[in-house]
Amino acid sequence: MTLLRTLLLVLFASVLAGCGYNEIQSKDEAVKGAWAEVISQYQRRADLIPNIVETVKGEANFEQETLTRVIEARARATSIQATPELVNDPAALQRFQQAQGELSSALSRLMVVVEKYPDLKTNAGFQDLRTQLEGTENRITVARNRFIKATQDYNVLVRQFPVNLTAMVFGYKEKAQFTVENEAAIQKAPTVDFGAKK
Amino acid sequence: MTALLAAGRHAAAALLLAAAALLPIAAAAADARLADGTLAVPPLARVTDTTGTLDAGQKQALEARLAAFESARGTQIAIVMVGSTQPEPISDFAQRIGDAWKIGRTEVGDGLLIVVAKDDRRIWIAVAKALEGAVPDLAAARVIRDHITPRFKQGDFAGGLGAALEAIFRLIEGEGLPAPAAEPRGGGGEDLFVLLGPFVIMGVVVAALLRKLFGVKGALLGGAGTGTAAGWMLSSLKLGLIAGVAAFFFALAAGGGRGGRVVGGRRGGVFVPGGWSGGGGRSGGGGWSSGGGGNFGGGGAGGSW
Repeated sequence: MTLLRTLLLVLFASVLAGCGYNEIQSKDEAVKGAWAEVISQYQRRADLIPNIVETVKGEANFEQETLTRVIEARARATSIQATPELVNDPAALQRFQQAQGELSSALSRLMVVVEKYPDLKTNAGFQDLRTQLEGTENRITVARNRFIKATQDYNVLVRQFPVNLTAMVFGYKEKAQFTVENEAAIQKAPTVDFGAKK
Repeated sequence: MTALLAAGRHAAAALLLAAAALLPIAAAAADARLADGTLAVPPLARVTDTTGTLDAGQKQALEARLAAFESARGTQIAIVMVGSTQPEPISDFAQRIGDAWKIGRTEVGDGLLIVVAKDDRRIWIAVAKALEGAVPDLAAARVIRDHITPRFKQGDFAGGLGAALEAIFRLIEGEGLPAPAAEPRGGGGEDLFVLLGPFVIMGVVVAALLRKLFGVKGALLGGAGTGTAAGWMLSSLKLGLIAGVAAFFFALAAGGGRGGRVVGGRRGGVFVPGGWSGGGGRSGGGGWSSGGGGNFGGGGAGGSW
């Protein structure tokens, strides 16, 4: 009797392995890892902003509107709880991406406006912050690309036969992906009118 | 006023661009491009220069310094100099090279890339994650600002790269990275066992047989054969030597019913480890292999001159 049970168990285990259960696990974990990296890089940027804002404020008569927009966008972006579960909820991921995208564009606008202030541009402290911000933006890009790739791998896996059956049985759904549509709008370089100073 | 200034700057930039376009006559043509117009990742090398800016001596000198640093510290560093990365930003190009080459030791992942786009007048230092502590973005930016751009402005490319390497070496030396393994391939005891086990076992069987037929000379022959095979297949002289000597002694011990005859002076036949043929896969010639451990996560900094 026990022999039969053991045999059944072994059979069950091998069937599971054959149906990609293990593969789902490893790719699911890969997506989680990639997502954690995305979150931590966005967090790094959010941590950097107060310093940038402080330094820029030091410059007399800096365009307040640009600065306020960065501060507000940061507040909005950090108000969204960036939990690991976000990847299972397309709508929430969309909101997260939207908020971070707005912050990106507010920041890049700030960096363009800074060009009008020679003192600020040559300020060593500001130069360092700028380097760090550039590095962080770059890391965000890399982390996002890796997340997109990992999600793609996972989604392709759970949609293919016969793994889709295994995924269905164990409740593994497709994961939300960063979308590209609003990406285009977000990444559009801000236009700055140099003629209208103040 | 500002508009006028901006216009002036544009004119100056245009002039510079025109001058830059005239100077390197056929150099930029060497860069292979992909279908979407971006540069193809060049083949792995310590120093790549498709612009013909560095002469053979300068290139070799840089390569030698990088090789020396790798054998002393283990960190893998590469320099890539191309014409233009347009339409792609240089940081993206550097990232693609990093993803493709993955330079840096397997276990440590300490790799660093210096990418120069000569016609764009841009430079980017890409730092693998393991080195982000030793070379943070700010340090990379300072290396560019203090050591590279002043020399590049005067057209001294080899000098700028040399000074940058010096500064980067010092940064990395300050970081407590693990020392390089004595033998790059399979340094650890278990690795050695796993690598050499099959050779030694096969070798012992054959050598014991040969010893039955020809005595100690047979064992010697078997050992030599094992050494040659192991050395050739693992492309390492040292590993071949070890396998050969091990097979020889095991065979002696295994076939040693008659015991008495001590090996003694015989071992002088050090031509035993025939591993010569394998030599130099790693250390020698132009071939340089990536440790494959470098994970480039976008760290680093850029600049222009």
